Amino acid sequence: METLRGSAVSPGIAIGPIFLIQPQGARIVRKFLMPDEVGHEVERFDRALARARAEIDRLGEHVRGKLGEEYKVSEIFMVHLAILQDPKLRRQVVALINNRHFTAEHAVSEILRRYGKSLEEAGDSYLQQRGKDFEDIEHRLQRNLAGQTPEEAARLQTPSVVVAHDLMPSQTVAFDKEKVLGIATEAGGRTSHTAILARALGIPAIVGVAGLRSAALPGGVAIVDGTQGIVIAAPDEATLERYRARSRTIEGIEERTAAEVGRLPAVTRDGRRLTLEANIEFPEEVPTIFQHGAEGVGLYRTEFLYHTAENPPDEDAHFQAYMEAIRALNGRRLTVRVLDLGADKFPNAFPERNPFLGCRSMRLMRLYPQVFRSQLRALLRASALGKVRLMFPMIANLDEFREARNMVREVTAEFDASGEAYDKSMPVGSMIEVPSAAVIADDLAREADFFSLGTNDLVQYTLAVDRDNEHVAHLYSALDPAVLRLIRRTLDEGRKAGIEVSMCGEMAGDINNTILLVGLGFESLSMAPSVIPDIKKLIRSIAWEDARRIAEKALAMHSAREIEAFLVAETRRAVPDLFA
Amino acid sequence: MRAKRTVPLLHRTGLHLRPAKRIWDTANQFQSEIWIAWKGRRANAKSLLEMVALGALPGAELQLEAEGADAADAVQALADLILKSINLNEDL
Repeated sequence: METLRGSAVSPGIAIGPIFLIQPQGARIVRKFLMPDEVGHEVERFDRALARARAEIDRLGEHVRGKLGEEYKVSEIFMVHLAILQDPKLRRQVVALINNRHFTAEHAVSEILRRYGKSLEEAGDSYLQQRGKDFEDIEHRLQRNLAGQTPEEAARLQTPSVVVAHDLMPSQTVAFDKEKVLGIATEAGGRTSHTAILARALGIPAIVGVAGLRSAALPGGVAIVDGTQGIVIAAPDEATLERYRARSRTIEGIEERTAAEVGRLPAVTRDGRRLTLEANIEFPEEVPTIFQHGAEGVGLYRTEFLYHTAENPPDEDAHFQAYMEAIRALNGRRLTVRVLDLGADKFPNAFPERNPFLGCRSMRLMRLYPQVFRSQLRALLRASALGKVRLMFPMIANLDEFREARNMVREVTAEFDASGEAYDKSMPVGSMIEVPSAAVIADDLAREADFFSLGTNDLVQYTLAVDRDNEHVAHLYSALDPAVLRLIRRTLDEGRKAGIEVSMCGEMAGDINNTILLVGLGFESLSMAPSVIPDIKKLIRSIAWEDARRIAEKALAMHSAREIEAFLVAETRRAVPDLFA
Repeated sequence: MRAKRTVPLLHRTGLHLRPAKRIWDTANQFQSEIWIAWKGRRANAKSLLEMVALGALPGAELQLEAEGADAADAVQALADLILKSINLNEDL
C-alpha cells in the first residue's frame, strides 16, 4: 500500500481498477532510412495522416453528442483538424523524410515539437497549456503510425480509475462519466483541462501527484480521494473497507438528503436561523448543491468561464451560464463575483513584479472596461430571470467601489434607454478581502448593499503570508487575532448599516470555525457543497447563546494556535460522532 | 494589387490557435496571397501552422499584407476582424 498526495481538484471518492494511460509520444526511433525506403515511408505517413483526420471527425461527433455545444470542446477538435489538414504540415514532414531520410515518426516529432516549443518557450503557464495541443496532435499521428487504435478512456470497458502522467485535451473531453470513476495525474494544476472537465463531469480527481505511475501499477486497485487530495495505490483490506464505508456514507448522504439534511434548516437549538449557501464554478453544479442541502449560491466564480473556453467568454457565453444557473436555482439566489483574474492572464501586456499587490481583479477590469462591460450586460440581462446579486472582488478603498458601481449605472442606463428588462433592485455588494476594506467597512457599508468576506486573501494580506511558501506557511491562520478583529469589525459595521454580511472564503468551510462564526453573528455562510451536511449538523447541535460565549472567549485569546485548539475541542464536544 | 496595414494585437493569448483559426477562416475567403508579419518574420495567413509559429505575443504590431485581385478587401477584413472582434475578445 502506498499513499500519495496531490492537489484535490474535484471532490468525491473513487475506488476501482487502475487504467493506465501511457505517456504520449514516447520511444521515437531516431534511425535513418535507406534511399529505397523513402517512397514507402511517405505513403505510410499519408495513411496515418488520413486515419488521424478520420479519428478526429469521429471523436468530435462523439463529444458533441455527449456534452452538447456548450463547452466549446468540439472546437478543440476543429482546430486539431485544421492543423492536420494544413498542407504545410505534410510538406514539412515529407521534406524531412525525402531529403534527410528521417523515419515518419522522427519527422512528425521534429516538426510538431518545433511548433509546440514556440509556445512553451513563452514561459507562461497559459500558453504552455495550449502547447499541449501540439503534443496531442503528435501523439495521435504517432499512434496511427504505429498502427494502434485509440486508447482513449472513452473506450474503457470496465469502470476504472484513470492514471496518467498528463491527459491531453482530446482525451479528457472524451471521458465517459459511467466508465471513468476517478482521475489521478502527475502533471497539471487547478486550471488544467483535466481539473476543469473533471469538476464539470463530477468525477473525483487529483492532479500534481508525484511518483504516481511508479506506485499505481496497471492491474492493481487504487483509491482516489478527491476531497482530501490523496491517492492510495494497492490499498490493504482495512483501508479499502474504510473508504468503502466513507463512500457509502457520501452516497448515503446524497440519497438521504431530501429526507434529512436538505429539508431541515440550519437552525441552532435555540432557534437562530442561518443560511448555508454553496460556492460553485459551473452552472452544472447547481443540482448537486441541493443534494448537499445548500439554499442558494453564495459565490459563483465566473473566471472559470475563462479557463474552460480557452478564449474570453463574450456576453452571450456569460449570459448562457447565468441563465442555466438561475434556472436550476429555481428562485433561490445566485451571488456572482465579477471576474477575479490575475494579471497572469495578460502575461506580456502586464509584467508583474508582485502579482498579488498588482493589477488583478477590479483593478484589471478597470483597464479592460469592455471585458467588464460584457459581463455586466450579461448579468443584468440574467437578473430579469431570477434572484441575482453582484459583488466586486478586491475592493481596497471607497473610490474603487464607486467607480465599479458607476459602471453598473452606465450599463443600466443603456438598458433603460433600450427598454431591455433587468432587475432594478439587484443588490451590488463589496467583497471584504483587503484589510483596508475591513478598516473602512463603515464607509463601504453606506454604499454597498451587502458584504462578503473573502478570507483567503484577507488572511494573506493581513499577515503578509503566502501560504504556499513552506518557510512562512506556519504564520498563515484564519484564526489569527488580527484577522478575527477585522472580521468582527466588518460584521459590526454591516450590522449598524443594516446590510447582510456573509463569508465565502475557505474559513467558512472548515467545521472547526463554525461555532465561532455562528457566535460572531453571521447569518449566512457560503462554502464548498460537500462540507454543508456536516456543518449543518453542527449548527443544529449547538445553541446560539453558547456559540456567542465561545466566540467571545476566542476573541479574547492572543494567539492563533490557542484559539484553534480551543475551537477544535469545542467542536468535538458539540458533534462527537462526526469525529468518531 | 497590393495592400498593407499595421494593426495591434491585444488578444490575451497572443496569436495562438483560436484567434489564429479566426484569421485563417477569414483569409481563406479571399483569393489573394495574404501574409502576417511580425518582428521581421512572415506567416502565410492561409496556414494555421505558420501563423502559430510566428508566436506573436499580446501587444504585437502585426503587419497585414496581401497581393492579388481582392488584396484591399482582404486586408480590410482582417484588420476589422482583429480590431473589432479578436482584440475586444468578442465572438471568440
